[in-house]
Amino acid sequence: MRVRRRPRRLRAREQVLGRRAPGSGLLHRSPAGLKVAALAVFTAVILVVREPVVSAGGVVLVLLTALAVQVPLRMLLALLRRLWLLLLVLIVLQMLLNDPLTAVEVLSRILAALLAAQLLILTTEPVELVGVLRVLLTPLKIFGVRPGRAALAALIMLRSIPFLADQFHQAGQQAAARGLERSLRARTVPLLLGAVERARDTGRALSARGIDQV
Amino acid sequence: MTESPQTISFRDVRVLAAGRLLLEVPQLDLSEQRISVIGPNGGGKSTLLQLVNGLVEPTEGYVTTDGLDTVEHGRQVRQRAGFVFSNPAAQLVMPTPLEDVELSLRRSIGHADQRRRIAQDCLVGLGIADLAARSSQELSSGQQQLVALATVLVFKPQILLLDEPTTLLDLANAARFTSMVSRLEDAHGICTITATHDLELAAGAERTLLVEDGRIAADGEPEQIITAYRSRSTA
Repeated sequence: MRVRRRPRRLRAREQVLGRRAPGSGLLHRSPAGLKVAALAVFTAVILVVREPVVSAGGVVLVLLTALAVQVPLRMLLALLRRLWLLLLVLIVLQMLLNDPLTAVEVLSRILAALLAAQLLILTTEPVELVGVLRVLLTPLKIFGVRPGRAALAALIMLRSIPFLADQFHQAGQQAAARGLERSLRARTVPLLLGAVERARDTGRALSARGIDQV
Repeated sequence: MTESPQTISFRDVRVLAAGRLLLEVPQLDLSEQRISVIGPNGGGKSTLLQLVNGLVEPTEGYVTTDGLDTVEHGRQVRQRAGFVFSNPAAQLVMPTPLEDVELSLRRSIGHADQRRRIAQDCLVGLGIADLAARSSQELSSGQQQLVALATVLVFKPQILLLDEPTTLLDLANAARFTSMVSRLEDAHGICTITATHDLELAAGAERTLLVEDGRIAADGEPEQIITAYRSRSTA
């Protein structure tokens, strides 16, 4: 009798942003501008000091903060599932080119910065982040930058990430259905065309509504 | 000639793209409340609809909506003529339906509280208040299309241009969308121009245009035009 194979798991939808940790801890309720400022200071300290103890302490601090404000560590660390290969390559390179201590320092520095940013994303609505961006861009008005426009562009970009991930996956399946799994062209051309079409549709819908900024 | 308030007229219109003629309409006046546009893919249905609110500008000739030239007064025309596209997801840009409807009001209404109240009322009016705070991405296509309709209706347009609005929807959602539109026609006297492949939907209009090969091939009673379209397509 043939062994029944376990079916391949269906892929979960890729969500970079817009995924919020449940709950309403202190960090959820804090204003986005304050959180962005804190993240900026935290990251700057880590990057400037470059001490393994400080960086490692930073990682621990982020993890403790997450626990304190009731953000599940599982969601915070999910980021690493996507980046582990990159981090691994980095470690190996550092080991080869430098010494293990430097490798640890570099890794902890990156982890501290990444996890802190992830914590911000998990506890903040994307719209609020875009609002902060708009405020930050306001001084650039004298150079002719329109903050509302830049913010709208950022918002549309955020929304298109899951769409592009879906398109990429779909293009892969379409290619596979034709036996073209290995064809780079079959996998990328539909993705590009889909992206252009989506951009055109979104642009048309916005101009039909008379919207050019948020 | 006396013009009724919601008249759309085309005069010597030609739309060219890279030297190719997309649509040619020597003369056309539209004043019926329900108009449907049928015809093969790539025939020029979308171009015709987009000419009405100035999303496509005529290369030659003039299009006026409510007496306003679509090139000179594009913004005012687009306030009067709302447009719903066939792809529901591409029309929504904000994380939640409520915010998306508010976004439509940003230019016209200064107060955020007032915007929120009007947006909320608009969703209630369409019977989709329950969707207000949901994630737009995770709504079904049918729900997204109703939200897209809300983002346009909040301007209180007199004309609705619907470009294959139900093509990507299932039967139940398409029926819900269509009945909502006909309710709006009755309650607010909104005029609709619907481009569609759904001949049953097209038959509900007062006047039907058959657009084919970049021109209006036939124009008249829905039944007659649809029969002509069927016989052409199967011949």
